[in-house]
Amino acid sequence: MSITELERVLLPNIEKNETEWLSAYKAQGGYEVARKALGMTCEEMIQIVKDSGLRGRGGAGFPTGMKWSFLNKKDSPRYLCINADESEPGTCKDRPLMEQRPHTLLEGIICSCLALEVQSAYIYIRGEYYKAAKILNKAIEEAYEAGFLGENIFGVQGKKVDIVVHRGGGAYVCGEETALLTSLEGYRGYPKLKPPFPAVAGLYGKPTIINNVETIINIPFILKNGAEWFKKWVHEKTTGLRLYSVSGHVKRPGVYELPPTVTLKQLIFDICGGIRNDHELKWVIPGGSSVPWLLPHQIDVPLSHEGVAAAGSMLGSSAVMVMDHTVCPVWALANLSHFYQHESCGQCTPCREGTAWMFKIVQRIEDGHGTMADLDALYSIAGEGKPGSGMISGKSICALGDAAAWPVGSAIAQFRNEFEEHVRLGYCPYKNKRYWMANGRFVNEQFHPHKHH
Amino acid sequence: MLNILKDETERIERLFEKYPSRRSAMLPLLWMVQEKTGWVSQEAMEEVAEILAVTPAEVYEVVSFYTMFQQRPTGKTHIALCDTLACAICGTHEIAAYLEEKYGIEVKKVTKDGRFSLELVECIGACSMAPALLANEDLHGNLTPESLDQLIASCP
Amino acid sequence: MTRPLPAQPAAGTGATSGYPQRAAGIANALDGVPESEILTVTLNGKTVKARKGETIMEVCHRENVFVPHYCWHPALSIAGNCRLCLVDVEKAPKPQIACQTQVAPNMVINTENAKAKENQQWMMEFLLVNHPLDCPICDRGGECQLQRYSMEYGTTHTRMADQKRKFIKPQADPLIDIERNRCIMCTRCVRFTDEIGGEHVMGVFDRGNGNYIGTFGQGPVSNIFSGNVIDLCPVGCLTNKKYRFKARPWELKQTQSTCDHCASGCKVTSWTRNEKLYRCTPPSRKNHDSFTINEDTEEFICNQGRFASDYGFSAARLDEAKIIIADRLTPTSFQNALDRAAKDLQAVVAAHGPSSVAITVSPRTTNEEALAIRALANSVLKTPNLEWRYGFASDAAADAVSLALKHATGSFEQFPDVIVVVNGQLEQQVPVTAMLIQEHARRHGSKLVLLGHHHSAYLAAHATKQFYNQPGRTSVVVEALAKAVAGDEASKGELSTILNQTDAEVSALIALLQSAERGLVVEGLMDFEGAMIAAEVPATINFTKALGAEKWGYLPCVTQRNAVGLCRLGVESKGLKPSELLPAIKSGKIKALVAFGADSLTAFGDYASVAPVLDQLPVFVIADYFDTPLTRVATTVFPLTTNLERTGTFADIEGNLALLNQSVEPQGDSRSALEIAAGLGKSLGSDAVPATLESAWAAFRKEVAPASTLPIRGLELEGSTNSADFVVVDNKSQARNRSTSYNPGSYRKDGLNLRGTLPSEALAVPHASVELETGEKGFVLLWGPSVLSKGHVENQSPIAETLLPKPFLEIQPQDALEMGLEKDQFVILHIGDRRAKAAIKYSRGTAPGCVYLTSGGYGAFDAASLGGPAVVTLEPLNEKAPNQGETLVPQEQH
Ligand SMILES: Cc1cc2nc3c(=O)[nH]c(=O)nc-3n(C[C@H](O)[C@H](O)[C@H](O)COP(=O)(O)O)c2cc1C
Ligand code: SF4
Ligand code: FES
Repeated sequence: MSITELERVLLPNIEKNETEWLSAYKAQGGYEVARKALGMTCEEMIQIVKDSGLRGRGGAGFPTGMKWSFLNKKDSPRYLCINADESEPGTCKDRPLMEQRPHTLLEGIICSCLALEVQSAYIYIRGEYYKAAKILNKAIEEAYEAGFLGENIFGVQGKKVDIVVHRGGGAYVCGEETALLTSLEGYRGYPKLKPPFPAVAGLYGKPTIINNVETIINIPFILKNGAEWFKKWVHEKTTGLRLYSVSGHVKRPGVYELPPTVTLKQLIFDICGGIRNDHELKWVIPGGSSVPWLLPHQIDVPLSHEGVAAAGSMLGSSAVMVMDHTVCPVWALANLSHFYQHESCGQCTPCREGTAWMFKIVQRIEDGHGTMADLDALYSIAGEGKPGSGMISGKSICALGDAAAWPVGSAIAQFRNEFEEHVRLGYCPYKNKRYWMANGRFVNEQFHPHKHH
Repeated sequence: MLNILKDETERIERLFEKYPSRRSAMLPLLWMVQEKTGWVSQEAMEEVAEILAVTPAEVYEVVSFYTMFQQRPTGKTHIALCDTLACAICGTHEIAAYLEEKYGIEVKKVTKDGRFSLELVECIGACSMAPALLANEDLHGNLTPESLDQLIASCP
Repeated sequence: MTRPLPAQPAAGTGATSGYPQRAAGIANALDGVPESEILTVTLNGKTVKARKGETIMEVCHRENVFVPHYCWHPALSIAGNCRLCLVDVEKAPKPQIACQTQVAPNMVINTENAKAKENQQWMMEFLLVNHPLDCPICDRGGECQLQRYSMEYGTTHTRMADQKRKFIKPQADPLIDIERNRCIMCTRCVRFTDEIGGEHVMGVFDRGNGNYIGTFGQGPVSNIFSGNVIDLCPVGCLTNKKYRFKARPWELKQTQSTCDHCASGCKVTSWTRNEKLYRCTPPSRKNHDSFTINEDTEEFICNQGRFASDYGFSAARLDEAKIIIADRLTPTSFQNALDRAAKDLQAVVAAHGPSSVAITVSPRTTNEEALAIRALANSVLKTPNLEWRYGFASDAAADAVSLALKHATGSFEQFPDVIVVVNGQLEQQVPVTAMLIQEHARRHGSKLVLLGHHHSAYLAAHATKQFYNQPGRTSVVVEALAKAVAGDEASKGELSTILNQTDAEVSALIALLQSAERGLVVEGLMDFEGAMIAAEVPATINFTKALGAEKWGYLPCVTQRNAVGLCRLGVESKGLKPSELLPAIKSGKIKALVAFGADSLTAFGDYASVAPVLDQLPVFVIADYFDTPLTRVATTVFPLTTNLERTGTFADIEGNLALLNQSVEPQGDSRSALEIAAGLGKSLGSDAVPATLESAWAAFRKEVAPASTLPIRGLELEGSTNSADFVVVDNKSQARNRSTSYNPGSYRKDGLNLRGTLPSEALAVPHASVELETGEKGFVLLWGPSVLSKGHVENQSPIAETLLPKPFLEIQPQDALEMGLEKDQFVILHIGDRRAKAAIKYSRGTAPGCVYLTSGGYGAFDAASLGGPAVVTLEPLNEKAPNQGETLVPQEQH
């Protein structure tokens, strides 16, 4: 399969990186779906979404139609929050969506608001996305002027949709849906205790639906083309095209729109051109930094929730990170563990203490001061990279605790030898292989081409 | 009484209209402060507290939670260099070393001339463009020594 | 104080702190809960009943199953962050936290099985990862929950091999030490200061593993309840600066007693050793075999009680009796002093008759002492001049207070669903009573209405309705309201004019009052001069009566500790009025004065105006704790035992009794007022004065509980040292397990009668005599008594200065903005030709056009000489107080 053969719906012109403003969007039939949705009943719309099999693109893969049907419609006002916090390492697909297709997103939000009978939507966008926030704000302005937002949208009496862009301030945990809400309410981004779930008591204590950007941007396409169209691309219970963010040591990293039937192997070796410098593939993180790692022999699986799960990992936010044989897994784990201990909100004991403790141990092993007892301790804290196992997973308030533990557990399981080697040698063996500078960091060939073999 | 935000009353009022609770204007107000002064001083926190009718402690709780709010003045161009896995395996530390060796820009420091400050940050959502950094509001990816030189030259 | 517990966990106040919003609460009995609300669950293999919506923790509490917890506290909102209370729930995919998870029908809960134990062990291990192992030098050692839980739920070994986290140690608060390295981030202190302290001054800063607690800009935890965070803290992070490194808890003797600073009447534990007080805390509790700080207590105390109960250890303490010999006060034996005083008094009575003798009684006098003194006055000296209110500034104020107490019927045991507060800076007059009111409004869903010319800002934050009127108009408002409640339409119109409210608002207020099932009218007697309360008190009593005596109670709030007991015992002069005492001494009408406590003559320690007058007395017998200008002009001086050195009972404003329990030996030759009165009686040749505590108690009991056959537990005077279940009167324990139905007749089962009754006929209300002309720029300056104010006794605590509230001038934000006054900006107050300096504080409690001086004014002004509310003008200074007020500096007078 080559790239040119692939169908693209969400990001047809990703290479150009141009923003599609209102006039261009309208010229292509933009906002017609929203107009059409005004004539549909909520039940109809939710049913279509249910039928399409659309699953959340934020990470958990929860069926969107089902989530929508949990919204408590007896209470009002209700809110829709768009999760544009995109902070899961490896994930970088919502940014191009917002930068290139702001109006499609707005139309998706309008349609969703109509289906959910919601009048205000908030786009919670991570603080680092300055440009995307500006583009969205400008697009929203255009849409208000065109009468697509505000009171009586499209001239229909009594239909109202307001959209506000709310910028975060640099906190991964605010991507967790309830932390997103507390942050939006003006507090520290602390995840809330559940139940009650947001669909019952969310933003300002009112029923709230939280969906990822990519999830919502799919809505107008589904409403326009129907559930069957969306199910054209199907693998087991995973439907529709989806954006895969590919990073790391492939020849052509990037964001790819692919059907779930594409295998991880095809993605890496065909679509992304294989490993740079024709190195050896060492391992793959298939769904964002939080998911268990896969070894080269495990990657011949379709990139669907089911396919990746069968291989022992998770599709997560479909962010594929590829590591070649120059990367030390212990060092990489230390890097990720640093991320989680840095991003833990610090509210609950297991995550606050556990993430920092794990990082200290991993870093010590990487530095050559680890012991076998450390490995055992690490393994008992992190568990086997499965929900509920270990001392953190399932005990914390939110899933960040789990997310921090899983890679640790799976790294040890997949690369136990290398961890033990670090302990035995008393230093990181990768430093000897001349991929590393004296400071123990990876040598980028662009900067030091002469050092490479 | 307001000082930093004293000319912004109109913008602040419009902000309040966007949310059912005034408290929600916390982050936007802090961003407003940072836009104007480059960082969030203790004085600014007290101002925000006054506007929102909360205690300064509540504002500081928020400011210190979110890493993008600078609690110290930064350089004219503040560089946030991504140091999470995807970027780290593609050269973050070489960039840091390059910046330090060639331009004297050190991590967690402001250069003497006040032009630059550098910070290593966690994933900035540009993994497929690794290595990447944010120079103030602008994202720069696929960095090479040449593109870095250009970037530095273009900064005020 | 009685602390009502929620009949059901009430909804929280909303997103105040960013923490989950449902308030916690201790489960109480299921009696009276309708069958439809009951479900069954299995708890550790046992089938038990539970109420719908209850949490697992609440059920466990009722079933006496202990679930370890740090962040959960019955008085605070649920944070659910420590994860120590994780229990195993069958069919649940994950372990569930007991503190927040609500029970469901047929839930199978296990708090003790292997899974639950494993979780507890893991959480303990996590909490110890960064906790320093410095127990030997930690002040919390011996009463630390981390220590205790790690023995019970933890493991013996540590797997942590890395450097522990280290924080800097800033010193911000003068009373509370912060050692962040020991913090386990349960956030109890943060939630306490926010929810109960009333201001979010403490916070969690930074995030993740580096987060820590503190205050903004390292400021102090400036609030009157801040000391409670010390007990709430389950570890050694927040400790008492005055107690640090002085002793270990197990070396100290604990005595269950009561605080003598205000009439809220909190119970306390005195921790003593070698006849020294080491600390004073809320009642300790039994943990296994020993008694420790009760970190789950709901019986919070204020900083005055906690930090200033050590006044007896002042350097000015008297410890020997003295008599005048050749114009010089000379130490002598107690008996000698008695004989000498008796001889002097006898001579005066013989020469000038009994009416030439006056006896004054301190409001800190116990009931037993008062009974003895009364016997001395009535039966031995036969003088009508027996009075506890000579410290009052005017007769009007004294009479208003007595009138109020005579008709006091209200109590929190009624579990009020509507509370009306008429005036008052209650958190300073009766701090813990204010806290109770706030708690009712915040947690139990009681509606709170604030009326009058001054509202406490502390309560204003929780008020359902808040209406101001101008000073001096309060009586008019409550009278009109009384009529309006009775259906008078004209009064409604009048009200909307005075209150400056729409008719709809007024009608809503009336409807709210009428909807009450159990109402409570609280009156803050803040008007020191009495010019206003003379009208306000009878009007408010009438108002309560108009609302219906069967549903509504009247609760006047006096600060003086035993005002209720003293009024009940009739320690009120039938001869000289309070204001007549000093003139009568000057004119020579009074020849002999017996003062039990110098605070019976000057509440605020302004000796200079009183001492010269007293110096004219031929016979001046004084019993007091301290050597002051007053004792120096006496003819006989008796050293008096303090709060820690004597035993007896006090009544509180709700009419409950509490035991003041001796914990240290009297210093030197100090005696209680009872011994002195009895000794004097004896020397005067009479045995009419009860000579022992037991006989005085028996007599007192006969008077206040004649019908009772029940023992009044804890008051049997055997000394209930170290008794955890120190329950003063039976109905207190019943109050904890109360059913939701209220029966006004049933809550005083033991027949204790320290309450008044509402009058059968409406009381006459004098015309409100205060009309203040403030002019364009003027403000009405208000103040009131405060437990923290300077005073004869308060000044003697070594840390009185620290406790004194900073001199803030409270002002409505609107008024301040109009004047261009910023927060913390200094102003000079001009009152006539006198001036004082204070920092501005915006407050929602002050009526428009009024300002309130938090320090009560004492320190800058001599309150008694300033008169009633005064008109002031404010002169802004170009100076700001750093984050807090500064010590008020009196300016030189012109
Ligand atoms: C620690 C953590 C971080 C998360 N970050 C993100 C994020 O950055 N973006 C996102 O869309 N979802 C994120 N999620 C998932 C959200 O909680 C939530 O499941 C999602 O927004 C729901 O939208 P969806 O159903 O459309 O996927 C995160 C979850 C966790 C536990
Ligand atoms: S799991 Fe981590 S991020 Fe989530 S609430 Fe607990 S401390 Fe915060
Ligand atoms: S007591 Fe339940 S989580 Fe802390």
